[in-house]
Amino acid sequence: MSEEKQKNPVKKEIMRMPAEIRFSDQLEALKSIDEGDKPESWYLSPSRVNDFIVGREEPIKMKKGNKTVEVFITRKFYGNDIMIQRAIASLLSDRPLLLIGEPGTAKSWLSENLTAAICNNSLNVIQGTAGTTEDQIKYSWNYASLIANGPSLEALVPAPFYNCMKRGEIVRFEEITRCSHEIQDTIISILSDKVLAIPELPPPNDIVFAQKGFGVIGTANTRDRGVNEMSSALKRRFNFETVHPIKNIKEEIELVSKETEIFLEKAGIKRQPDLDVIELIVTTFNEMRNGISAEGIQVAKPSVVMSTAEAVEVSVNSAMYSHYIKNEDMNANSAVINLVGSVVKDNYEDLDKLRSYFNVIIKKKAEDKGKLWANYYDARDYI
Amino acid sequence: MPKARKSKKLPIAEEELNKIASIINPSDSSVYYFGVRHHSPVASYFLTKIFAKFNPDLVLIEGPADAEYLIEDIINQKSQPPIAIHTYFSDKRNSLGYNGVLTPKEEIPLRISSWYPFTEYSPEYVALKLAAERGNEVHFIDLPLQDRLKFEKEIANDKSFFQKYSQWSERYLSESLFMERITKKSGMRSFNEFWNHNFEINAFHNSLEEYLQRVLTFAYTLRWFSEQNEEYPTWKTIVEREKYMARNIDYYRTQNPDKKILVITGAMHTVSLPFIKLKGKKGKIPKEKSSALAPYSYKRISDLSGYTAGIESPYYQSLVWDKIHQNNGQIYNEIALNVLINIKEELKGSNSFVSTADIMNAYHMAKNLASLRSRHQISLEDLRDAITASYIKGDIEIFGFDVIREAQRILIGSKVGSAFNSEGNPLQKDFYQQLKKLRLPKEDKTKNVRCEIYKRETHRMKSQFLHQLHYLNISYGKLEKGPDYIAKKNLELLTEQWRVRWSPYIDDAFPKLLPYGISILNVARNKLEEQIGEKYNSLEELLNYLVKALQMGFLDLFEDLIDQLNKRVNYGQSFTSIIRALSAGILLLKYRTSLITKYNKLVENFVYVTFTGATSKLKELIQLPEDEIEEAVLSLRILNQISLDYDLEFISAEILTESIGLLLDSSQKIVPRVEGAFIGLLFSHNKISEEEIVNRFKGRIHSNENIQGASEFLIGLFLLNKTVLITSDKLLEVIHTNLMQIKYELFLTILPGLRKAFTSLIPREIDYISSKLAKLIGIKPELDLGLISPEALSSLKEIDEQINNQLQEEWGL
Ligand SMILES: Nc1ncnc2c1ncn2[C@@H]1O[C@H](COP(=O)(O)OP(=O)(O)O)[C@@H](O)[C@H]1O
Ligand SMILES: [Mg+2]
Repeated sequence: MSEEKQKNPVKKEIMRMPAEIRFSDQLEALKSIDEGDKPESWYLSPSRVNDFIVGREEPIKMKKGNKTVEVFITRKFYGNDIMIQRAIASLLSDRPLLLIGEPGTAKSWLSENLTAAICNNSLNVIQGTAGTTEDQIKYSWNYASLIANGPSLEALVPAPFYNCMKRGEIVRFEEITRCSHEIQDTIISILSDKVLAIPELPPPNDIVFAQKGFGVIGTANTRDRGVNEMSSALKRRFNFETVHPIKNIKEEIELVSKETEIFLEKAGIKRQPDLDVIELIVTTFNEMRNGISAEGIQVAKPSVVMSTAEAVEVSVNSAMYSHYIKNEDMNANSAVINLVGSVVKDNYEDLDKLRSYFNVIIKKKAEDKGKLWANYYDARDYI
Repeated sequence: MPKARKSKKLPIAEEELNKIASIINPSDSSVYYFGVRHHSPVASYFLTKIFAKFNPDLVLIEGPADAEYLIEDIINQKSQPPIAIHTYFSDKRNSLGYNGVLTPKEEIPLRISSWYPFTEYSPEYVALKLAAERGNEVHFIDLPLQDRLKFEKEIANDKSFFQKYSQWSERYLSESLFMERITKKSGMRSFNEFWNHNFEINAFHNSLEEYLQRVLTFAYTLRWFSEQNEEYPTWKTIVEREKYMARNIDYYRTQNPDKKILVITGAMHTVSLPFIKLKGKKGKIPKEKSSALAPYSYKRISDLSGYTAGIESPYYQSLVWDKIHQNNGQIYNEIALNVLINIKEELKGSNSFVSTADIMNAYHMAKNLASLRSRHQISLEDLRDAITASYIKGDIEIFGFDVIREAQRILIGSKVGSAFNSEGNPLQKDFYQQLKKLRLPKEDKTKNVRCEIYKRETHRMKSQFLHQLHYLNISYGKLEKGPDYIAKKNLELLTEQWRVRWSPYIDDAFPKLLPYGISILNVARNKLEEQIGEKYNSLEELLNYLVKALQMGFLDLFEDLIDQLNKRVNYGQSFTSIIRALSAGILLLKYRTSLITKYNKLVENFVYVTFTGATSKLKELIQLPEDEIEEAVLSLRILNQISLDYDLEFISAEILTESIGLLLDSSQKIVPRVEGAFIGLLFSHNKISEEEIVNRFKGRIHSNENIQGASEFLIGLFLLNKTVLITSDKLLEVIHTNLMQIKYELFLTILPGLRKAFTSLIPREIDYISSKLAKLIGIKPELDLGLISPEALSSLKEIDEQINNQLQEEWGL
């Protein structure tokens, strides 16, 4: 299953600002109370970076013009806070960090927010594919200028590694394991020497030394073969963190409803997400993903990942469907209708699994837990 | 993330602060109260300082007063920590009221035991050693177990309190809401981390006074909060214990007016004891000696950590203790580095290769984490995190196992102590008492013992005792004959036949079992409990333990076991092993019902979960590799029998038939034998028509694939349901006519399979079918079997044998 297929069909991407802009007030607020020691090139100190990712209970009071405003630092990542501390400590040490996990576990999201807080810039991104070339990693040339003036700094078109080494920032390398082995080797030599050679240029511009603060956050998908086939030389240079799907149903519900709310607001739809319906969706995702129901009954896992990202998608789509087609709030019916599309991609066995999940598990919940679940069970005819 | 971690002053009122100050700098210079936490090296370190500063003559320690006679043994050269005082109480008068509830019957007293483990760096042990060196008199001042239980009886609202007593005897300091909250509030992942942070790593640079200020302020707050909320179920006991201790302290004080007394207790008592004004006689202790010194191990001390105030990493702490007297202050960092190197060395040659660069990186990371978390030096948690991040190359769930296990092994350590008991080995005593009580022979020659386990209580007890000995490898008895629930043999037997023989070598077995308890029963139970608690028990092992628990009479362990079994079943088991578990569950239900009525519900639930688990695995069957098909279909037959069993009314066959229906409809390719079996199963539940069976068979025999699929189909079908053949004329007819149509060579290729399919029939069924078949093809059975001569019979036999041989040679049948 390719990840592209699982991406939100609603083009959320376009509306999405980079984290440092979207959360600029929060970053500013954290900066205003930042007293901790920090590496020279870091925008915030490690503790404040941590605050930015996991949120703070109390708002920060900050002067804005001649007014004092309260800024809440929201939680960006739900899950293992200790892992976040480790990730930050890895970035503090010289090691690049590789976030691995199933698709939709917020690896990219975490990488974006970490770089937003550490560099105030999350746009040094390389998207790894089988076709990624050295140009896209290090630098390339403006050929017109190259022909006119010969090799010179002016003709050089910097790519993320060049930029980040020069400025002491962090490169985000998405889906690093999809790159060819040659590209992986290139990365190894940059990482071990911490220099980038530009043989085309005369000294002193023929070499770029990595400034302090230079680092890499890679992401890789464990559903791809890639992680295991990564060259061991490259593996050795990284610190790994495994990002797990959210375990806690409550947190997942919170996240999904928050994201749905943001979406509805942006789309100008004046409706609220329905927490009960979201609970139905999230419970289904959570139980099918983990292969076991809250009652301890085994559930057949579908071949797709059932990620939180997709739960958000189902919730949003269900709200949209209800709004545009039925002119009503999201409900059990629209949840089931959109669930099917998300679970059943190109594998019809998954349809059976979803059916049997409803026939066994949801049936039981409908008996034990009452109306809400009974409605959900009744909506199984859409499957 | 730690927020307000900067050392702010606690909002404690002036008066309270004065109280704490008066403990640290008392006006009365004859008694000094010193507060510790068990197994804290830093507490021990400051304890040595107080010895030097206060220079006591007499030392009082929070240990069970009735075990005071063991002090000599503890400090004896022959004893080496880790060791533990094991005290026990045998409720002969049923004062707790649980005889017959937690024991098989009322005449059998409940035995409860409690452990006080010491490592070489436990403050209590350090104090005992120091006092001995200095020639100070020492006493234990805490309430004896027996009296403690009296108070606890009132608050123990359910039997599990006493059932798991030995695990909980140190629970005071770990099960508190306050601790839970403060841990969470400070962003720590466990109370241990909170403690290590505040009272070990960030405290050991303190002056003695600063340290005491820290510890006692915390203890005071904890105590205050707990008292307000009466949140310890055992609060009342704490109060009673303190009264007892206060009286004792007063007693020793009046007895020794000129001596300087050092009182060492848990910090929570230290903030209370000085203010309890009680005049005292020496506290009463039970007449009977009921304690022993047992060797202990780092592993067991760490095992405690789950539910009591044990420590996570005894070996790690011992390194701290070894280095703590060095002037160089970076001990925690040094230890972290050493551990990192150690783990690297241990991982050599394993799949998880760690380089020197990884060590350096892990070390830096650990330091970064420490400073991110506002610690002066690297803590155990920082160390663990650094190991996780730097040593595990890939997905932690796939590549993490080696590294984590090795790290865990090193941090816990493998040290085992030795215990000297001047009064002899109590376990040995118990063994001989039991022999006498159960009238088992103590002779060095073989004797037979019969136990009628279903009929007589005393016999059952005898059997349980013998099983316990067997389980503990104490070579006394051997089971010659009896029901075997594991091999599922001799289940109809109502008696067990044992051969027993005593020999002097038996006595060698006892010392090494002492850490588990001082009665055979307790030792066996604790051992089994430990095995059950292991993390990676397989389904088979767990079933095995279930049977052991039954045989040894530890029915109360059932709950845990069943719980674990349920989890196991749901976790990556194959269809056949789930069925094995399921049939074991059924056996238990059927054959031991009289013994386990109380636990029937549990077993039923297990059977239910296993049954649904098995149905969800059915999908596995449709594409099995050849060598697994046979077993799987047999398992399916068992599953079907269970689903048809009317005694098991809590099982719903619907789930089974429905899932099979789904699979058959799913247009996926199915192994022919499994398809036949599925069909047979559905037919036995009347979920499928004769018509469809016939069609499926036709589909197989006319398929362009492999004609053997047809015979395979029949094998599966008949294994699950032979009645089709008998009840349905149609099927037989179709088989016959279709076989007649195929080519002779083809027929030969499926003949062995067909033969196999029909072997599941018994002679009477064969008769019946042959006569039906005869009718079908219009011949009369010519042989009148009733009149056949012996000669003819033997020549028939010969022919049959020849056919058999030929088949075997040619077809491997
Ligand atoms: N643990 C989580 N915390 C916060 N958001 C999450 C979490 N898991 C999933 N999400 C949601 O999933 C979305 C997509 O995640 P993404 O970073 O693209 O996943 P990945 O890169 O792991 O495939 C995020 O934008 C977020 O809305
Ligand atoms: Mg991604």
